[in-house]
Amino acid sequence: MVENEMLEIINSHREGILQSEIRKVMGIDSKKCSRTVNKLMKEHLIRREDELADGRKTFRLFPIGFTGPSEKHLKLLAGGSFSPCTGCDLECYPETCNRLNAWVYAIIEEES
Amino acid sequence: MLVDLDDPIIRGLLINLVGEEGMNVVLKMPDGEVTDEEVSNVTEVPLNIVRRTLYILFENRLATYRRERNKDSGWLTYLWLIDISGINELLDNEMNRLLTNLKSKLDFEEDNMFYICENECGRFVFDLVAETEYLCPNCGEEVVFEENEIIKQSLRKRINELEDI
Repeated sequence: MVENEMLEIINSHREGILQSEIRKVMGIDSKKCSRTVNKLMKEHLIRREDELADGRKTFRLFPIGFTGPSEKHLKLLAGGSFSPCTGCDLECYPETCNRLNAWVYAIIEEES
Repeated sequence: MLVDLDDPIIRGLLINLVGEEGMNVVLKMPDGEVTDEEVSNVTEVPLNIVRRTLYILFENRLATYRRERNKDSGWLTYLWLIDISGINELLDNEMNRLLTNLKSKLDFEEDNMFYICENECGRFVFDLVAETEYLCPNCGEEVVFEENEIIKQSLRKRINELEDI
């Protein structure tokens, strides 16, 4: 169903997705897209905010009830690996910790 | 609540906490309240690993349990439920922990000079290699000076990013 497909796409975009973009991804016309968005909003499955894209007014669609990290939490990753301090049960000496050192090298690699 | 267990941040956090086998428990956990034995049967993960995983999740407020007493035998049954809806709070705490540790590391990098062993035995501070006449304390190979400016720069940048949030 179109509603399910749209909901799945929106749920996979925690930063939101433009309504104009989702229309293109799904290959549906703007009328159908707008109707489906309204239906999902009525069922409180998504929310939308105004946004200007290329000078034209559109909407950004967000999932509701999504529990997940936000952009800021990306700083816990370096080169795809998560902060080594999480779950670490070694005695904590960050100054000389090999795991933390390797993680810092991963930041350097990521930035180069 | 929807939680994307394929999200690299969520996955990274959970694997660090419960390990790969524990992650299998999370991924295959049956819906609703279940006993640890049921979890073990469904997930095919050994019972001791299931118990360890559930306990770690509970400690980090990612799982809850309810005790139910059997009226006939008097035995207690623990019914577990994984609830990852509070994961953002945990991630915030982990960011603070990381920030504190990166600051300690930056202070250390700023206060010391480093030497490395070409046999990859490790990284040593000046005071240590001065005593060993610039030979690796581990293998005896000569050590070379390591410019740590790039390390300091990266640390400062990540610290600023974590502080700005």
